[in-house]
Amino acid sequence: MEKSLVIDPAKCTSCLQCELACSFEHEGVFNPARSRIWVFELEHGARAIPFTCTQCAEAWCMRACPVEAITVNHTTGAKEVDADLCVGCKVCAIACPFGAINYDVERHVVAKCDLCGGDPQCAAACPTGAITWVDAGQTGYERMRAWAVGTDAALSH
Amino acid sequence: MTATNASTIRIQIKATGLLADYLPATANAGTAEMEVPDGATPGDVIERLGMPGDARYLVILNGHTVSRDERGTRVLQSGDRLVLSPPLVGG
Amino acid sequence: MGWQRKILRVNLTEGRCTVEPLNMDWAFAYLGERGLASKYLMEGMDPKADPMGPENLLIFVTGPLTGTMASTSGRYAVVTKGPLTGAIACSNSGGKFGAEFKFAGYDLLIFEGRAANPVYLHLVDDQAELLPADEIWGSSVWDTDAWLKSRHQDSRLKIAAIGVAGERGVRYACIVNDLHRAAGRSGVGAVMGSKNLKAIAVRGTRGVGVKDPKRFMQATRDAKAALRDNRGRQEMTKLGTNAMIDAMQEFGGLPTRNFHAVQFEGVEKINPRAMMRTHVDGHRNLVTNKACFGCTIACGRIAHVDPHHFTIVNHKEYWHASGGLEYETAYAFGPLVGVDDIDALTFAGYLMNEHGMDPISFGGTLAAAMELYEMGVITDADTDGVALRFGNAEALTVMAERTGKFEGFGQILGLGSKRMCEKYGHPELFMGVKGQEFAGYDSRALQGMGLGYATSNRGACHLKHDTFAEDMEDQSGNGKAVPCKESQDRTAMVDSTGVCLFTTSAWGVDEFRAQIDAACEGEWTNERLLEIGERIWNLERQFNLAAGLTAADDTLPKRLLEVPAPGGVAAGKVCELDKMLNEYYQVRGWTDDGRPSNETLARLGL
Repeated sequence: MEKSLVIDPAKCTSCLQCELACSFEHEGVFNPARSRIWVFELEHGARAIPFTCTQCAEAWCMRACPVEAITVNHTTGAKEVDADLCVGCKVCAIACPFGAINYDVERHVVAKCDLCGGDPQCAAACPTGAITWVDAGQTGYERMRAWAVGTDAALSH
Repeated sequence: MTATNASTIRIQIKATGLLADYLPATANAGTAEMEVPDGATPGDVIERLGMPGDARYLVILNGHTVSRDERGTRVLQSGDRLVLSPPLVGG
Repeated sequence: MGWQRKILRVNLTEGRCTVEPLNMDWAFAYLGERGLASKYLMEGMDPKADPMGPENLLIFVTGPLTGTMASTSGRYAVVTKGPLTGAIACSNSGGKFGAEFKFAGYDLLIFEGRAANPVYLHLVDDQAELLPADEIWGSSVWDTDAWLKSRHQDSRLKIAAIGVAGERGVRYACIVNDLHRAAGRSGVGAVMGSKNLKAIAVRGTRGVGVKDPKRFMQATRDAKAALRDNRGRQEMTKLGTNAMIDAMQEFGGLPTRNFHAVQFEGVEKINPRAMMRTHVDGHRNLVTNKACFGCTIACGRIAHVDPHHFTIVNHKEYWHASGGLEYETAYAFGPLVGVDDIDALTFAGYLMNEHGMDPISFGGTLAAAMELYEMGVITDADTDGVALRFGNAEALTVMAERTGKFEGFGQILGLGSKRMCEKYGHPELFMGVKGQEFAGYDSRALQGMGLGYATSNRGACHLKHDTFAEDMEDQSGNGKAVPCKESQDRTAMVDSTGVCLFTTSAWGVDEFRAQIDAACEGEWTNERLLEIGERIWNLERQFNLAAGLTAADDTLPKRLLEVPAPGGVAAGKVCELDKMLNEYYQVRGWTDDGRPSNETLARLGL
């Protein structure tokens, strides 16, 4: 089953364990600056929102790459960068409307979320369930549930 | 044996922190009135309410602490006020 | 591994930044954070130096676990000589700032001397520059934070700063990082101000490594599971530390109206239940909870002050959410001064973060001022026309602002309770130890707390020991010396790791050892870690003795030693400090006059 990350900002406490997990998984060190997922704080810290690549079906980054370094992993659905092919032109970073692919100044290639090959470490590390790993076709399911409960006058009190 | 109920006594119970979630639905601001069997101890009340057993609870009966040893032996009286607090880290 | 093995030494007098290797002998003997910086302090300055003078060192320090994936790995400390106390000051903070300067590559930042003009440090990895702070001198912490991010076009900068209170030498001015976390106590912000250092703005891209990554990840995973399953931790996550206020109210250990009472009739209006109450118009005090860097507890609160409340109804700039009530602020702005208006408490809390002041010491000072006012020693003529009566919410919020801006009677409140009470001829109204005001626990009810308050090396502090369980179980002075000493050593160790003290709700020494041993070179045992804790405690004591403190300073105010608690479980009791103190010195291996014996010093390598 293809799965997807689901982010529920209401549960995010801005602990940044996801950023630590991501950098550790990919770089072997704890370094949020090199994470592929980042948490954004708004309103004096009242709101915290993790964000990362949404694994577009028709990905701008993939289409823009002049050396075809970005391909689809057909098991996970992730768009993955082949660092050996990547020339570091950064056109993909320009093309992505979400800022989700960025240049890695240490490796001189681009880096993005690759869903950790099917076991995303950010979701594993998240202590509150703000990041979960669910069926890609039902990412709205729990959100819909919350509203469904609200429509039943007997339940909503 | 007669068919009457075993006798009960009425106590007031206050629970602080998340322990308040274990009080009966009639509770208000962490305080509730409860019927407990005559001869019940604070330990019995903790069990009756389904609170997790934890020796580190602070137990106060009528304004005096009940030591850990006594929780299973001190007998409650009608009109007693029992306070239960969870272990906390100071901050 | 664990440590970055690098320090940045900033000579403010000469305007020079140099990088030095970390003294690894000291790192192995003192671990990091509190212990390591205390050693640097002891070796780097004369303990008799003026805390507000250029000879005082101001040290920002992380632990070996800071910046790793261990839970709560965001901790750092500020270590210096405290202007409030004249003793060693070690003020701990969370947020994101500490992890950031660790990621920039440094274990310690040491500030020496005094800048001729206001400056700030801009630190990005290897690039360290002292830049003019004229445009932000006189600004609040929050304005400074925004200005720096804009000036450097870098919203990812993490900033630690002082407000006007620190600039003007309010004795309990603090250093605020990430808008609403703080190195709060003992006046470390005033030291920063005395050096003309306004702020530190840092970004780091270097990362932190560990000795054995696989074993480290297993150890941190196990430790996180213990924390997740722990009920004390759950209380903090769901209710915040203010859950303590209901427990202290029932126990009768909640200091009220400058320690005249031990229970407060207004608790139900300011407790966690009140914070979560939704009003008819939809307003609710509590917005959400919040974590520091790496933290899986998230005890922090984010709150909203009711926009119709008198404090902010005409001040749109405060209609946003910000840091909400934690226990000490709720105590110091609630029962201690008799106020039960949750919006006043929350707003005054905002002001502490905006202007950079310690709420505990401010509340303690205001409480003493209220007592002076009610006695008629000071009048409206002294207090800018504000009636400083216990229970007056306006007195709380107006004076918080005045003191933050160092205006009017705020300049007197800025002296701290001890100096203010002495100024008005009533030193007995100061409720604290070694010049530092008490936290929210009355030691007539919590006897071990009394011993901890009296012997804490940084003045009255509730965090340097843990005799909670013993104090709840037994309200006499019996059997408190040993658990006090042991928990002081253990806590000194925890304070030196880079993780948060609140993990001790679930972690014992085993959990700390497993994570440290996987992260740091060398072999780490429980014994070694606890010995480090004891070494740190004795080193701090040595600093204080050299600074001129004596056993006579290990005492409590008469109100706690002679006036019985008026209610609660300890009704009729006073604090039995004398009984506990002698036993404590013995247990410590100190002489009768509170000095570490030669044998103890030799055993600890001091």
